[in-house]
Amino acid sequence: MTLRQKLLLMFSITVVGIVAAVAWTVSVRVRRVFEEMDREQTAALVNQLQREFDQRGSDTAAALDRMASSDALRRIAFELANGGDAARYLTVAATLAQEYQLDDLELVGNDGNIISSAQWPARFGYPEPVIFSAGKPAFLKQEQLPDGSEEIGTFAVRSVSGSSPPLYIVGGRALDAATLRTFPVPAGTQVYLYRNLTAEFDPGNFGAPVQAVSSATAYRQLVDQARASGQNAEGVVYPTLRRQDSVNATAIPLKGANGGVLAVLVVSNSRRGMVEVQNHIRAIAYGVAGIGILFAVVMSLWIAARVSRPIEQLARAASQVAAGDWHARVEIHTRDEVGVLAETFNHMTEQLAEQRERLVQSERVAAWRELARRLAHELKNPLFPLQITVENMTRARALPPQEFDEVFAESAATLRAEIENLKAIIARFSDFSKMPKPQVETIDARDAVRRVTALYEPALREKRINLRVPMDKEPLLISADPELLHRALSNLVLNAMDAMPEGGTLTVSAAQQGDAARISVADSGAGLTPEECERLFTPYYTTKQHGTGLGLAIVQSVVADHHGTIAVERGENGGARFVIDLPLLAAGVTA
Amino acid sequence: MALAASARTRPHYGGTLRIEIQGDAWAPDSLARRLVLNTLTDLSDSGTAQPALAIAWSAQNNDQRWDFQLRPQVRFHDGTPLTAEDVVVSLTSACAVPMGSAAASGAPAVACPWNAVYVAGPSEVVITTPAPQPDLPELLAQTRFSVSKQDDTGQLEGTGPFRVAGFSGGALTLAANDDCWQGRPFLDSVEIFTHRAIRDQWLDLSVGRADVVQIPPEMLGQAQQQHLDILVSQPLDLLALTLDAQGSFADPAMRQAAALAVDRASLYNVIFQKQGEITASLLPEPLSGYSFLFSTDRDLMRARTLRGGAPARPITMSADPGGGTLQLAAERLALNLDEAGFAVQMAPPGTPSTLDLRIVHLDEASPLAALDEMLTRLGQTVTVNGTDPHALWLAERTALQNYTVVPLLWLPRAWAVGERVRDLRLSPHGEPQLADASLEAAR
Amino acid sequence: MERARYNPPQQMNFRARLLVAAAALAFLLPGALAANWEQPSADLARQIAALAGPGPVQLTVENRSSLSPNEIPLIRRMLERDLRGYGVLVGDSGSATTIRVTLSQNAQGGLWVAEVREGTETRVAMVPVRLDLPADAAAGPNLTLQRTVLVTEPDPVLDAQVLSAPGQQFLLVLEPARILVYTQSTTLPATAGVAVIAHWTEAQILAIPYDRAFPRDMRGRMIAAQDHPFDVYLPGMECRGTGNLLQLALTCSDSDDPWPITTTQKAFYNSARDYFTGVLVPGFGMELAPFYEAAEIPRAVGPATLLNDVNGPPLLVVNNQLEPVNGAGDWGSDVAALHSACGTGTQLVVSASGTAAAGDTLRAYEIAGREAIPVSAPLQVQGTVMALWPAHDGTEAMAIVRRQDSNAYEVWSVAANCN
Repeated sequence: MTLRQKLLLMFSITVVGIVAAVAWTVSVRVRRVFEEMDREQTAALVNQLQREFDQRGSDTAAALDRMASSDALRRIAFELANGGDAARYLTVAATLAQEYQLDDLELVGNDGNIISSAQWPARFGYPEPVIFSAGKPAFLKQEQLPDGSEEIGTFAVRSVSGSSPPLYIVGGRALDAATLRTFPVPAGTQVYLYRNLTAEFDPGNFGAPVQAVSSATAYRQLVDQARASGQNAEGVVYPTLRRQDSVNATAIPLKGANGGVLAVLVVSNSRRGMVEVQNHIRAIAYGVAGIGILFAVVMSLWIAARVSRPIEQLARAASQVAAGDWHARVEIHTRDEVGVLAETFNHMTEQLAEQRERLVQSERVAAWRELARRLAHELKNPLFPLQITVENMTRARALPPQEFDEVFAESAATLRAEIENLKAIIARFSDFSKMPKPQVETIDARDAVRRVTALYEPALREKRINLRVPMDKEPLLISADPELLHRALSNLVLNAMDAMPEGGTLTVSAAQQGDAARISVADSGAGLTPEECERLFTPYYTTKQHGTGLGLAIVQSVVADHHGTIAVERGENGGARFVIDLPLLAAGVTA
Repeated sequence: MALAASARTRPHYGGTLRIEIQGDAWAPDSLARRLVLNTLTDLSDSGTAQPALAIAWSAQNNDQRWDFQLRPQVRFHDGTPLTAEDVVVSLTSACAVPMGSAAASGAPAVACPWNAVYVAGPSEVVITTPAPQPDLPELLAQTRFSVSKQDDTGQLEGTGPFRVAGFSGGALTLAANDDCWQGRPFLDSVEIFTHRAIRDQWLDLSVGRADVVQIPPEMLGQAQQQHLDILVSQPLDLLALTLDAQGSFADPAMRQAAALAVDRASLYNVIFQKQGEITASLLPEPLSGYSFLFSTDRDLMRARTLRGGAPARPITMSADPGGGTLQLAAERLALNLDEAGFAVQMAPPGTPSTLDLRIVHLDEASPLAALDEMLTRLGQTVTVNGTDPHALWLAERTALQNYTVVPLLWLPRAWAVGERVRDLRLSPHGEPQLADASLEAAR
Repeated sequence: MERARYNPPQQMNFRARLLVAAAALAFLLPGALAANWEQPSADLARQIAALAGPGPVQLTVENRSSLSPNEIPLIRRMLERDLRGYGVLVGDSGSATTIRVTLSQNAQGGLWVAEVREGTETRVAMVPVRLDLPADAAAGPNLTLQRTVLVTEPDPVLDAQVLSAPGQQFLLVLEPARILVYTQSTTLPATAGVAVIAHWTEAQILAIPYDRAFPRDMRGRMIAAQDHPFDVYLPGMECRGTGNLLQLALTCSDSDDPWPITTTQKAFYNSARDYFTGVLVPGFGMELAPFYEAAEIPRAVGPATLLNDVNGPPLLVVNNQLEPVNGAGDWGSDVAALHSACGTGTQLVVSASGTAAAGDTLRAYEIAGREAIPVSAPLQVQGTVMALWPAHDGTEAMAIVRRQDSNAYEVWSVAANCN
């Protein structure tokens, strides 16, 4: 991370932190205010529904009171009291229920058995124990229906006026989804009825259109709380993951005549409006904060730029120097600490440039000396035989012609040989100086290995050297000049053969090593000392009696031209192991 | 007996009688079929066969070969004479037509009691049966064995006292057949208004828009209170619970438990308002004389014992599509079975269920033929070995001991008749014999 | 349920029949009654003995039929006696074998059912029982109409006449396609106010070649003739009985000739319907509406003819004047004049519709001026009056009644007895 970035980050964190703290404070405060308002609204609604609920009970009781004093029922009661056949009134309850707009109605005889039932006509003759609540206010009752379902309603029990023995009427109005829809609730408020039919919470018992079971499940905690405690339970319910769908819910337990919770009325007041206002305020706060942060960032950028620009110039200049540009300079515009630093830097680079120039001169001289030494060494070896031969020829002039001729012939041969030797030395130096530019093509590194091992296999056999060529089964495609690579590998193989005059094992392998094709040539010869390893690739360095010291230099040159690397290490058999890594072609890429 | 005795005036000719029914005019066993089509035989009030399109018959080969002599000079409504070939074609095709409630439930055709019907002469038809069939003449009085033919236009032609004149506005109009072999009916025409609710029918009767309307048995008392003129038939419809002997009821003991759990008295006393008769028999008491031998008592304790303590697996129950009363009765039976420990779930009317509450109509009026008919309609394969009451009782007892059918009530059919209708009688099948009715002229 | 009518009320009719039978038997034939139950009692006892074997049994007898409760002890005694004959001893209340006999009935008649219970096993025996009937009469302020059931026929009857030959009486019953000739074999003496049962034996059947479709309300008339036994009038056909009453023959031909309706008038019959056209021969010189039947009433000024109009009240033709008859609002369509020693000497027997349970009625009227005055109580007929014609000698009326219970046709002679 750059200095400028650090500065920028530090400034930004500071500003954002301050803005966030302010925004959080505003948001929390606003939310609390709105939630308080929302709770108050829900509480008012719950109270209103409670009143509405009580009113419905009163209406039911009033309807039954009217019915109990009606002529029709008094006549029926009279006829029954005088031995009338109860069976005649099988359908009376249904008719009366319709007339008095009741959902449920039963006529019950003095023996407690149903005479007529509107909601379940087939239950005539079965007992209706609830008649013991005759005359009491309306109460909640769970009623079974013919289809096996159960409904809950507000019921009242009355005895028909003047009937002796009494004829009871048990009537009620269902409390179901349709009823709930008639409750006067404001928009955004839903009233659900959970019927307490099972010990465990069952989403299917919701009597109002809680659309999905998962939505119904969201109310589970509240409903369970109300069922268990028998008291109102309230809280925020999240039917979906979206906050604007959340509701303030109040679960009101509805109890039957025996005090048991028959149902739970759930009043849910949508928090959408509140959440949206909150979101609106938050959006404004975020907008302001965002702009503030942006402005702060811009300012931070400017400030950071002003602070860090000279240091960056210094860093750039230092980088240039590191890259070899000894003439890099820093312009000085200030006179503060940074200006002093820049001036010092400029002075330092000037001194470094001067020292480098001196070092180059020194190395150049050393190089020429080395070249001269090598040339002298190389040329000295053939020159000595030449000198001896010429002296022999000179001395041979004194010999008889026949002997002279023999000496002359031998000498001439020696001269020619040594001259050839000299020419070879010169050619090698010439070759090294004019290494050709690689003509690359896509080849399989394994082919290159096979080619060179095939070439030298007879010679190796002759020298009792075992050849091992372990290779990957997959092609190792590289971009290379096959001739140059062959030449390099040949050099390595020849070096290895030279290193094993008494025979041994030559291992030439080709394998993938990461992104590279690794070719290694290992011998089981005497091996190399660490010093030899270090200087091995230096031109004109050789450990052999008659080497020019250019072979491995050529190999390194070839490898370098192919963007590869070469290294030497101690082999597994104690000999030397040359390792060439050449970059593999990416799949689908050809040279 | 005639509804309005003909002593007041002899029947007047002319006029259009309007009758309203809940069902379809052309359904099997329907009124219109009996007015338009004839059968080879008719039933007397005592249930014996009497001549109709056949004037005589005889049996040979131990009641397995029946020779029917056709009435001469009978003509179809299009004027073509009735031939033995027409009879053979009609009887043969009858075997492919489902009968009664089986048709409504999509059940397969009920097999005819014969294995061959062929022409034996210009006016002679021979029917051979695979087993002795002493009640064949009575069986042939059923409407499914009506004789008809299709004319060139595909119209169904009969030989009955009325012919089809048209269908419009929900009313099937039948016109008098002047050349009817039974004599021209007194009425000029009959209009049958179909698919009319009972309340609408009664309203129409009260305002003179209908002359004959239906009265469900459970409303007979109400009709009497309203001082309607009523014709009531003998018990002709059996209310029965059929049990599918598979699944929960594969065990006969479970079926017996269900049979013992039903409370016929509440059905009779309350739902059907004391109309008809309580029964546990496939034949009504007035017909068999021995129905009381089948106990109608409820034995809930024994039902619970037979059912045992096995966990109650849900059993479905449905009623024939026939209106609210049948559904109410089914719900009551479900309550009865609940008391015995069965878990009964009501299914929509007409849905194939483990328990079906059915109304099975009885066409026949002689004990043997009636038992044959009921066994067939209820899918029982018991053979009646003999014609005496004891043989009938044995066959019936064998059938009922399977507990796949639990007879509950025998119900009559009833009709309310307007003031201007005279001489209306009910046939042994419970249908108004409109051909013999007339409309009163102002006097 | 005063207007409700039960159809066909087998059980009710059977009960009614048995009530009538019981009433008659209580007065008439206790011995005959016992004889009726002897055979079934013996049969049932035999079957019970076969099932139960000899030994003590407990016997209960339950009546589910319309038998009178008075008859049950009698039947029980018979059964006990017959069972004793097979070694089955009734009486031990502690016996392991219980026999419950149910006196039931079905469409064919009585059915006695015995349930023999030994332990949990129940075996059943059944015996069909034949049931029979009898009759009655009705008294009014001036006279009593007494009916006599002559014969009962399963097929429709149009008319009947009792004709006399030296030393023998013949009953001729006219049906649409035949004439049944009966001879009287026995006559039981009449008791005041109670039925007289005549026994007629079928002697001859005369086929009527009526080859057209019968009208639905077919009517026919049989009238004794001077020079040959009788004439028969049918819609579109006329027949003549030839020979003598012992050996009759019938000659028929298509005919639209008018039918005799009184001693002086003939009327054309509408053969496609069920009434006279209103055209009379020789007639009264006026146009008359269609009518069902006519009756002649002697008057000082000459006979008056009563025409029972199809569409209105009865009309009286007096001195070629047409007068409506008052007090005939509940008259039916059938009317027949008969002569008696009571009242004015001429009464009109008139049919009328009755209640569901009792069926139609017959009642005697006298016509005073233009008023129809009932002179007898209504005689319940327990069925429908299908035809009513004056008898050959004019002292009786012949009524054809279709029974409610059996749909059988009964031929009645109805006479007026002075109170």
